Amino acid sequence: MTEIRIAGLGKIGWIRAAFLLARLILGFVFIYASIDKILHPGQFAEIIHNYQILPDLMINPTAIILPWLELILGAFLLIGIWLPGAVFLTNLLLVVFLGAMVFNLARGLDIHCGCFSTTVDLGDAAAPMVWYAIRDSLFIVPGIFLLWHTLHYRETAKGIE
Amino acid sequence: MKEGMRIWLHTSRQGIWILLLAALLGLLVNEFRSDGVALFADWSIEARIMENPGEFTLVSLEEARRLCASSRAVFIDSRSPEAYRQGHILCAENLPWEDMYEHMDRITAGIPMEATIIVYCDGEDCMLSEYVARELFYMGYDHVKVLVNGWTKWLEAGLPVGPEDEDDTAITPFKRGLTNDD
Repeated sequence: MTEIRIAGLGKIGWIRAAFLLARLILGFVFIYASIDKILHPGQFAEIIHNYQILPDLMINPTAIILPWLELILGAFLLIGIWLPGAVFLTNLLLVVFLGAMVFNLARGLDIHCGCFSTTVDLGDAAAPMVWYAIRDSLFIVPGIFLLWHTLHYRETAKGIE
Repeated sequence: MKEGMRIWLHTSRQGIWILLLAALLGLLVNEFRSDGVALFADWSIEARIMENPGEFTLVSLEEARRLCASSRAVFIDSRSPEAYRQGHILCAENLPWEDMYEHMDRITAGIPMEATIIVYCDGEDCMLSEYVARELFYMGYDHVKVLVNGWTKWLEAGLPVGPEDEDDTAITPFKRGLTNDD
């Protein structure tokens, strides 16, 4: 328990700064990612369908709800409310997104990512899925840091209840 | 250990509330916006093609068989070159979706705009033929048809297939024997 106090946010400034930075990065990324999907639910449903992972019945409910989940998670990360729940779900989404991309890469289905934009471009401008997968992996780094910090240190968790 | 459990319970509770909030917001906004989507939709290839009338249509196996036998249509196999080489509808040329733009000019050269083009891939959920058909339609071909699950249906019906070692770059007169008099 002594260790917890030593590494506590109030004690070490740089950890606090890194915690805030990770929240800001993921908060803005999630809000940015949600906007185009909220504006164009039809196109987003098309992109989910292209992934060929979800059963047909789940496609539209996911297209309707997932962008709002991203928006709420982004807002909560920025504002700093319900952080344990928000951080956990953020990581869960990042892992699910990465899993979906790697799954399609593995079976040779290089489709439009639909990560930040719902505009489907099959031409030369479309980046390969492997790039999206690498980018998603990079987002997982601050995600895991937040998760570790939020859940591992009870003082942090208590402080943000 | 007890403390860890408490944090996880606390986290899960918050996560569930966030999920519920997202579901409520998403469903409510979708209900009241003018461009909302149906909660459940038919995503079968038939339903999606029927949703966009005028783009391209479906073709039955029987009609496809007749068109192939009488050389009155160009058949496009949208699967990979490897799959094509292993076997394909006898009168089909290969326009793999993954390298569609690379092969497009070569394949479409000499196909008159009024020609009937039949695109197929393999499997009920295969969307490659739909992508290629849409691209051909937007290039100006008005008679593009999709044979859903084409390769499997063709094989199961015992219809003529191409030899395995055929050079897929060759465009034989047979394949281009267009007499589109429909």
